[in-house]
This record gives sequence, C-alpha cells and structure tokens, in this order.
Amino acid sequence: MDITIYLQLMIGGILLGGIYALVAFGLSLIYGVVRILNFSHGTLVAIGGILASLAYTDLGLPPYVSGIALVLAFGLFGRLFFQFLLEPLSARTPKEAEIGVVLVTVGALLMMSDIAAFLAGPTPKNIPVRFDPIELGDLILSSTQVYALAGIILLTVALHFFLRYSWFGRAIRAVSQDAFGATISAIPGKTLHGNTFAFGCGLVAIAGVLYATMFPVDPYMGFSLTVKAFTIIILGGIGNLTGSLLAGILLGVVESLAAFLIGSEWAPGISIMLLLIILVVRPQGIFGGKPA
Amino acid sequence: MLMPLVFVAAAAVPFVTQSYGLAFSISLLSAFILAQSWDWLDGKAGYTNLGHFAFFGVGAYAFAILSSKGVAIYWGIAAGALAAMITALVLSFPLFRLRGNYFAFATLALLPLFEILAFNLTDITKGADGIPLSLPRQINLLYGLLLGGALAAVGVSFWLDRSRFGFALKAIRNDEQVAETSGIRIFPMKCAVFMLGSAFAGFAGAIQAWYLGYIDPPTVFGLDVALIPIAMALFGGSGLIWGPLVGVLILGTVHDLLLTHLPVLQTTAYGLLVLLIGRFLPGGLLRTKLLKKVPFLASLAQEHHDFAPSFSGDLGATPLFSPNARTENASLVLDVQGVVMRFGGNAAVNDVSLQIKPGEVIGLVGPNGSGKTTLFNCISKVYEPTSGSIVLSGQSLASKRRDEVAHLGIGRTYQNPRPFGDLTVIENIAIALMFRGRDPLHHKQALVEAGRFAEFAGIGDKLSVRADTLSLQDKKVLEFARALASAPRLLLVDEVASGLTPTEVHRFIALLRAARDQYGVTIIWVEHIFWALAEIVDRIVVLESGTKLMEGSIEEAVNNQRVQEAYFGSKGEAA
Amino acid sequence: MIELQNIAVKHGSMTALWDISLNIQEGERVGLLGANGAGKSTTLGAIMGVYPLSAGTIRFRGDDIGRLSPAERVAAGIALVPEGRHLFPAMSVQENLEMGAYAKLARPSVKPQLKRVFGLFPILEEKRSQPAGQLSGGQQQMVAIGRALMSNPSLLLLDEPFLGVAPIVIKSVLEALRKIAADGATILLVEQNVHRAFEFVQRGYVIENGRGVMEGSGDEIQNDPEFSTKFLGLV
Repeated sequence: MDITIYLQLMIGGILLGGIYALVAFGLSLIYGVVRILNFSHGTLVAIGGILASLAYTDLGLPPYVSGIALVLAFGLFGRLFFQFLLEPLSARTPKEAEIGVVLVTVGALLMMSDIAAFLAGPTPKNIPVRFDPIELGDLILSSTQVYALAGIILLTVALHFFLRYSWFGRAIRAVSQDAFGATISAIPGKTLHGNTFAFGCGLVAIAGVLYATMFPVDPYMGFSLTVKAFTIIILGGIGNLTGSLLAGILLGVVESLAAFLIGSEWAPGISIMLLLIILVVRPQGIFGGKPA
Repeated sequence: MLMPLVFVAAAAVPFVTQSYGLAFSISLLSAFILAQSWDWLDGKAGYTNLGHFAFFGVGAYAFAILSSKGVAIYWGIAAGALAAMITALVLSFPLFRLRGNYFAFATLALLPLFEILAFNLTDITKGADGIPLSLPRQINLLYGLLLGGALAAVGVSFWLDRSRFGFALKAIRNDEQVAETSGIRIFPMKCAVFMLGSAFAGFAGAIQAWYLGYIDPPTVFGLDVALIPIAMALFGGSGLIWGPLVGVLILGTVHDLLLTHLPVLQTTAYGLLVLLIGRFLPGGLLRTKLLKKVPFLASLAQEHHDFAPSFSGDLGATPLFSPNARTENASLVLDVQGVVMRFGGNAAVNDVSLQIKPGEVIGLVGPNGSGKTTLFNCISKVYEPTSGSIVLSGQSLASKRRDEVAHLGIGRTYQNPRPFGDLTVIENIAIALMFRGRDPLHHKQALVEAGRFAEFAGIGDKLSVRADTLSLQDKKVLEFARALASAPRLLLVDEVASGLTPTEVHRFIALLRAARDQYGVTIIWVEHIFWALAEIVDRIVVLESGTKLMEGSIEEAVNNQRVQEAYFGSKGEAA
Repeated sequence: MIELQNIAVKHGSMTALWDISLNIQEGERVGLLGANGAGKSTTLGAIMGVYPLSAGTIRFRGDDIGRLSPAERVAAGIALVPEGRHLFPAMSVQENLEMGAYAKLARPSVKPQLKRVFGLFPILEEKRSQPAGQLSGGQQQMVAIGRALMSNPSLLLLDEPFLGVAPIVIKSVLEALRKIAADGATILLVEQNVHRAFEFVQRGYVIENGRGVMEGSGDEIQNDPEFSTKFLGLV
C-alpha cells in the first residue's frame, strides 16, 4: 500500500498521542502527589476545547490568547475544587473518603459534560484555524498540525525543565517518590497537594485548546479521555514524563492505524481493553516506575 | 415497621394510578433492584463496582436478541439474568485482582467498553440501530415481575445479613488477609456475590427492554444513566438494609421532578447532587447524626448485628474444644527444615530449621533484620518460602493457600491487632468458629459458642461491642479468642506485648498458659520483650541475619556472647 | 538545648512511647539506645514533628515546639536522617541534597552548603548526577546525612545510620560525623549497637518498650553488671 497514507496516519497519530500525553501528564502529577484518581480529569479537556472555540468564533480570540486565559482559569478552578471539595474528605474514615472522592469527581464529570454539551450546542465545536498545506515530498501537512506539534514539543520541554529545575517541580517529584523523605525535607504537604492539583488542571487546559484546533470536540469524550490518560500513566509509569510521552504517542498511533484498518468504531475500545489487561497483568507498567 | 408498608403501597399502584404513576413506579422499582443488588458487593463485601449497570445492559440485550428471534418472554428474562451472571463470572477473574480505586475505575470502564461492543457487534446487536421489539405490553404483569424481583432483592439482603455467606463477606470487607487466615476462601465468595448482584441487574435489564419495547447502546450503557442507582444507594447509606430503598425513594422523586421541571441541564443538576452527596454525606443519609436523633428513623439506620442470647457467665463443664493430643512419643507439631526466603537477591531467612513438640511454648527472637518476622510469615503462609519444607503434624504446608493452612490448624494473632472492625466481639469470634477446619459450627450455634470463648478470654462482658471501639488490650485479647476459636494445633503470636502495660502483659500470658495447659495448644511467640517470654517459654530460638544463632533457655541466650553481640554489638568492633 | 519532658506518643490506639524524658545541651553528642521496637525511631519522629505527642512537652532552645509542623522545625534548626534513608530514588544525588534546602530560609545558601557536604563526602561529588537509587547502601547513607545538613541544622538527629552500610564505609561516616560535631552541631544518634555508639557519643539514654531504663556515660552503661538484662528488659 501507499506509504504516504501510513505516514500521514502516523503523523496524525503522533499528534493525537501527544495530546493524550499532555492530558496524562496532568493526571500523573496529580496522582503521584495526591493519590487521587480524578474521574473528571478528561472532561476538562472537552470544556477547554469548547470554550476556546467559542472564544475564537464569538470573540475572535486567537487560540494562544484563550489558551493562556484558560490555563489560569483552570488552575484557579482546580485549586478551589481541591481545597473545598476534595481535601476536606481526607478527614473522614478511609472508606468514606474513598467513596466521597469517587462521588465528587463523578458528579463533577456529569456536571461538566452536561454544561459542555449545553455550551457546545448541536454542532460540533472546533477552532477552524487557517489551513495552509505544507508539502514534504508526497506528504501534505496543515500548518495547524505543525503548530500543534510544535506546541506539544515546546510544552513537554517546558514541563521537563519545570519539573527538573524549579523548586515546585522538584517538590512534586520528591513527594511522589518518597512522601516521608519529603516531609522531613520541609516540603509542606497540604499546600503542595492543592498546588499540584491546580497545576495539573492548568496543563489540561492547553491540551483542550490544542485538541480543538485539530479535531471537533465532543462534549462527552471526557471519560474515555480519562481512561486513556490513566492507561498512559500506568503504561509509562507514574511520574515518568518520558514514559508517559512515549506511551501516549504509542496509543495515538495505534488508534489512528486501527481506525483506518479496522474501522473507527473500535478505536475507542482499544484503550479500555488495554487498560484492563495492563491493570491486571502488570500494574507497574512497561516503562517501569513504582506500581501505583 | 414502615418499610413493609412501602411494598404494600407498591403492590397497590397498578390498581390505583394510571400511566404516569405506573411509569414512575416502574422506574423506581427498576432503580431499586439495581441499587439493592449493587449494595451486596459494596456494602457487604466492600468492593465498589461502578460498572454494575453494564450487567443491566447485558440482560437487556440478551432478552432483546432472544425475543426478536421469537423466544418466549419468560425464557428471555431468565436468559437475561443468566447472561449477566455468566459475564460476571468471566469478568471476576481479572477484576478481583484489583482493589479500591483501581477496582472502581476498571469497573466503570466496563460501561464504555460494553457500549462499544454493542455498537460494533452489529451482527448480533444491530449496532446503533438498536433492536426494536414487538411484544405484548402486559404492563400489570411486567409490574408484578418487577415487584417480585424487588421483594426478592430485599429477601436476599436479609438473608445475607444473617447467613454464613454474609458473614464471610463482612469479614472480607474488613480485612481480606485476616479473613483468609480465619479459614475463608475469598475468591469464590467474592465471585459468588458479584454473580448474584449481576443476575438481579440482568433481570431488571431484561424487563426494562420489554417495557421500552426497544433498546440501543446508549440507553443501556450510558454513563449518566449508569451511575444513578449507585448514587441512590450511596445517598441512602451503603451497607444498611434500608439504605438503597431510602435513596431510591428520595432521589428517584428528585430525579423525576428535575426531568419534568428543568428544561435543560438536568444532568448537571443531578451531577451536582451526586457531588454534594460525596462531599457531605459519603456515609449516606441514614448515617447522619441528625437523623439518628429521630428515634423512628434511627431504627432504619441500625446496622444489623447478631446478638447472642445473653451469656450466663458460666463457662460450663464441657471444654471449648477437644484438646489437642499430647503424645509422649512426641511426634512433632511443626517441623521446619532448611527454610530459605529470598526477596530479590536478599535472603531474609537463610536455611533455618526448627522442631517443635506438641504443647511447647517457643520464643522466637532476634534483632532488627534477623528474619524472625519473615520466618513467622512463612509458617503462616503470608509468604511462600523460596525453598525448604514446613510440615505441620505430618502435613506439608508447601503451596497451600492461607485458608487451607488455617484449616490444618494454624491460628495467629497480629502485632497491630486486626479485628473485623465493624463487627461485634461475638461476631468476630463466631466467624472463626464458622469457618474453621476442625468441626466448623453452624452459624447460629457459632454465635452462641462464641460467648464461651469470649468469657474464657475475659471479654465476656463485651459481646455486643464493636471491635474497632475496643481498647488496645481488649483487641489483642479478642484476637486471641478468635484464634483459639479455630481450635488450632499451633498458635502463632506476633509481638503481642508491645504497647501493653506489664499487668496487661501478665493477663495475656495467663491466657496463653491456659491455652497450652487446658487445650494442648503449641505456641510460637515472636517477641522482643524478654521478660514476658521469660514467664512462659520452654525455650527460645535466636535468629540473626536470617540464620539461627542458638536455641536454648532464656538464661543461656541472654548470657550467650554471640547473642549479646547480635543485639548490642561486640566490644571488639573497632572504629 | 532540647528537652523532652515525659512525652508519650500513640500510633492509633497503640502506645509507642509511654514516658520518655531527655535533656541535651548544645554541642553534646548523645546516644539513644535500646533493642528494636523500644521506641527510638518514634522518639526522633516526635522531635521532628512527624508524630504528635499525646502527653508531655518538647522544648527546643526554651520554646515549646509541640505545635510546629516538620517544615517549621527544619526552619528552626532541626534535621532528621531517617532510618531507611527515604531518599528520592529517581532524582540525582545533587537533587536529593538540594531538596534538603527546600525550606525558604535555607535556599539562598544552597551552594555553600553543597560544598560543605561534598567536602565531607567527596564520593558524592563524583556521583552527583547519578540517580540516588543506584548508589550502594553506604553511599545512600551519606546522601541522607548530606541532605539533612543542607538546612544547616543546629540539632542533627540520626536514626540507625550504620544499618546496611559496609564496615569500611562506617569508618568514613563516623569521621564525617565527628567533623560535623566539631563544627558545632548537637547530635542525637539512635543506634542498636551500643559499643559502636559509644565510640562517638559521650553519653547515652537506654530505652525499652517506650520507657527510659538507663542513663549515663559510656563507661557507666557498658560496665553496668545488669546491662544485658536491663537492655533486654528482663528486670
């Protein structure tokens, strides 16, 4: 078969996977520090995408402007959400705390996807940015794709530097690796938890904007995105940025190829099956890291 | 009692109301069956299955597929329940390797998975088109079946509360490992309750398909619909018999009001409700302090506990169990040969051998990292030894599960006591009596006998006290009583003296002495508080860095230079 | 400098410490001795603020520090080298050390403190970019001690620093500890090996099952005829 088709699919898959990885980064950081599985994590992507697209069509705001605004807004939202809805639950008995967290995040999931649907209306939303094809041999890439790819790479690099060199980033890594060691190194537990949650939510905002530039946003895609993000962090290892990136890209490429070869309806099921298999067979993932 | 009235009222509905009331009642009954059956796995066994609704969908599809091919309705419904049950059986193998958060997440993922399967297996399920059914709409009959199912669900809940099976689930909910060492085989139990709940969900799904006359994937696998019955059960109070009913009645009405009065954003309102429940009432409405003040409502919230007829305080002449034989020609109770336990490259226990005769009390000591706890765990099968053999009264323990080992006659206590926290003292001991290997008792009898063991151990006055509210000393004594109730040949005692005052330690030693003298129980006691051991042990075994340093009397050990060096270093160790 | 008055600590419903009292002056080297499970780690944890007190008081330089969080106690000048080290295995040696200076007050002096640590443990400078999890036991112990030093503590708590450390390395660790003491830090060392402890500490407290049972200088303790029985709690 024509190699270009496969290359085209691969590139699409890499882009998709890169966005999955961004979503997964946020979840990974949060889970590594706070040990909470936020069921509504992926839904933030849908909301971010829809808001960004509305900002573009109704207010004429270019994506990078709405992106910045959304990062700040989501960060603030995350901080408040954690502080008022999740953190108080830690004072309860473990069983109640567990149930409470599930209910709160599931309730948030239902609310946010319904609101997203309401805002989105009947037509699928995206950000219809210019399409200037770039030709590389037989390949045709849209400039949107190139910008998005550049954006993902830039963000991953920035995140890497942030985690590596900033005090906050290092504190996040430390707490995920050894909570006791972090406590005695004067890292304040509670504040860090809230800030990490906020940070993770902010990251997701960017994923939402990027997603909307390339694909139509489905308000109900949130939960399956969360499942994918979780699959990725299990595959790549919690707290392992490179592992998650590779796992994300792998998933994106597999989905793209599968959609083409088997039919697009099966593609979403792949990540779920993969997750179930991995959770059972090898909870510490392929790329290593601690078992969660 | 109020609750039976609810069902009487429910039975009257078809005769009293017209289509709207009937439709509402049907939706309530369906939700109730789902909520109540869900709570068997969650409230009783402690596993939160967010994908319960998937079995509803399986049942609906099974019914629809068969009915569209001309199978009679009753068979279709039965097939729905059966299909759900079989799906649950198959899924329990992968799913029960998970716990807690992970289990909840994986089960939730079942919903989109089944939805995708329904969309794509178009040959069987007709995909997105769905399956239309042309069946006679016998609403009253349908209603009657649902009501019957609801009553059956309530019946099952009552049965679970009082049956041996239910006790096993309650033990699992509290502490799976301890449940195993009390003789319960956990996987089949979890699988069984999972299948039971799923069967009811499938039943409800089949009836729903009949009622709607049509199904398609989002109707039966949609995420927003799926969480509603669970939210209802949790809202009322998971684990309480009437919790799901209260939740269904209240939230069902709220949901209906929302649907009729809110033109948009109904799911948002519902989601908000779920969120608020999670934040403020994760234990459920019936468990709130406010509610417990209303005497009538408080009775709804009562957790069911079996109470023994008040114990007379007289132990009676018959022994608690037939004492273990103390043979003179001393066939060994425990024969440990060359046991090695490796973790990675590190041998925590390195070629240790030990022979223990019936009726002996052995102290097992050693400094940090000596391997004494590891050896202990090898004997009680918390770990499977890397090599070597452990033989209990002639039976090899190799590859035996923990519940099998318990049945062979090993009982144990834990350094940090692990009673079944939300059960009473008498229930804790009764569970050991019900599931022991030697002469297990019927559960009603167990509850009576348990009183005698409690009395023997000195907590006979606390039979109806919840185990997690006991003092530390009483928890340790309860563990002893629970272990003794399994009529063990060998009792493993793990660092029991830590945290107890000297008087409390003496009390405990008296219990051990009684167990040995009256019932021939052999005891291995891991301890680092030497004076406690000195009161009762026949000899002690000293381990260091995984090997046996010496074996002998306490005096010999304390004055042995190598033992001293192991504990506080040698004078000769140069800087 | 630091005074524990009849402190008690519970872990859940278990009492880990019943009644412990210590008094350490500035610049002293004191040992906290006892068999395993005696409560030595819990005592250090209580001083560090990781375990709340259920009774008694802890005074540091005259102030009651009972309500301070661990982070605040680090800022006040106390640091802990925990049993089992609790390093950050995927982070480099240098990063591990730098985390010791996380407290806001300590951050400006990261560079000079790092220099000091590398001066005490030259091998760590060699391995500064290696993930801490790959180091040998003895080297990891050095990192743990170095991390605690980064906040320039006036009171250094060490919990069994020689466990899992090769004998040759123990020598260099002891030497480093001597230098640290000479620089003016007060040291409280938890150690199961009594004789090894007294090669470094001037005096010691022996605790057993959460209570103090002996106190004195190295000679007094080691030459006590009932030492063995007291230590093991056979009295």
